[in-house]
Amino acid sequence: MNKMQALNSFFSSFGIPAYEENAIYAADVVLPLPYITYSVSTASFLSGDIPISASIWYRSASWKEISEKADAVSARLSNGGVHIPCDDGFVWLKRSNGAFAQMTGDPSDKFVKRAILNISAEYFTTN
Amino acid sequence: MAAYTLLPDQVFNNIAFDAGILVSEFTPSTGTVSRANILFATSGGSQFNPNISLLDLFEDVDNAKPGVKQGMVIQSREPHLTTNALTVNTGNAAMYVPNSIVTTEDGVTKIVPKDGIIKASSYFDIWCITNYATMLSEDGSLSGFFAIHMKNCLNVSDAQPTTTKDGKVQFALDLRAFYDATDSSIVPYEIYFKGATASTVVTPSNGETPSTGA
Repeated sequence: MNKMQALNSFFSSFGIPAYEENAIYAADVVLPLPYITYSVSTASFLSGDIPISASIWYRSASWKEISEKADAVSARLSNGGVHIPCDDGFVWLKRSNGAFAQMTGDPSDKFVKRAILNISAEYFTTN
Repeated sequence: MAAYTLLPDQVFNNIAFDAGILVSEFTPSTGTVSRANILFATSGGSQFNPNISLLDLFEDVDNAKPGVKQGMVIQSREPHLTTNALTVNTGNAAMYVPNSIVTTEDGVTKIVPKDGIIKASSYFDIWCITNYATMLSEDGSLSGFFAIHMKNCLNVSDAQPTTTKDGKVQFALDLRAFYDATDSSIVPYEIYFKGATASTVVTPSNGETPSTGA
């Protein structure tokens, strides 16, 4: 599994689909909410903490489901984060310093709810 | 690729990481930790320094070069663990102030420092444990660990709270391990480490919740 697949496996493990953020525009149809989108930046050993931005998207009148999903991601990253194995080593995902989840919306649709998550990745890989 | 720009074999299985925890009890053979035994929440990590003291027996010998290995003796070590602690409770109150009497009455805990010969019950053991190799389970039973065991410790900085506006009160801790006269050949610290038990973490596939968490 390469690094991108490792990130996908992490973001896909919360019960809703997860897509690299540019992949949603490449789809033939508008993908149904809810889903998670995430950015991919890769590096290698001793490159330091790499910011990974993810967004949880829901379409709902209520904040309940999206805030519970953001809490679920936060809980998985608590106590030091997670190690996702990949070819050549593993990816260590942790919460970034500062704000973890920022709740916002979408100006084009008043029911769309978005949680922007700030995650750090540290790559323990030779490449 | 440069021939001498290489990482060692198994490098990622041999790294210890994260700030670690300070616990009162730990059994290296099982590796399990109980949150009830975590003594302090800390800030800024911790630093351990055994402060080795070397003596050169050949120092005053004519014609002998200083620092020949055959003349070197380790006289003693003075192990110190320094950190900033954030939490105070009835479980750790006595550790902040060496040789103190701690009583709790009507919900009020009182710590009274005493001078003079330090009573034996003031000394405590402490373990500083960090993750090692990889993280597999919260209770530590599968995770690798790197642990330093310090024996017969006192907080030689005594209670030193520092307050800041809009901040948390931090207590500078300087834990020193002492020798025991009943057998002074035993150096008052030991290091343990153990690799992770399983070779891989269970990886969740799309849409499924994983069976092991962080």
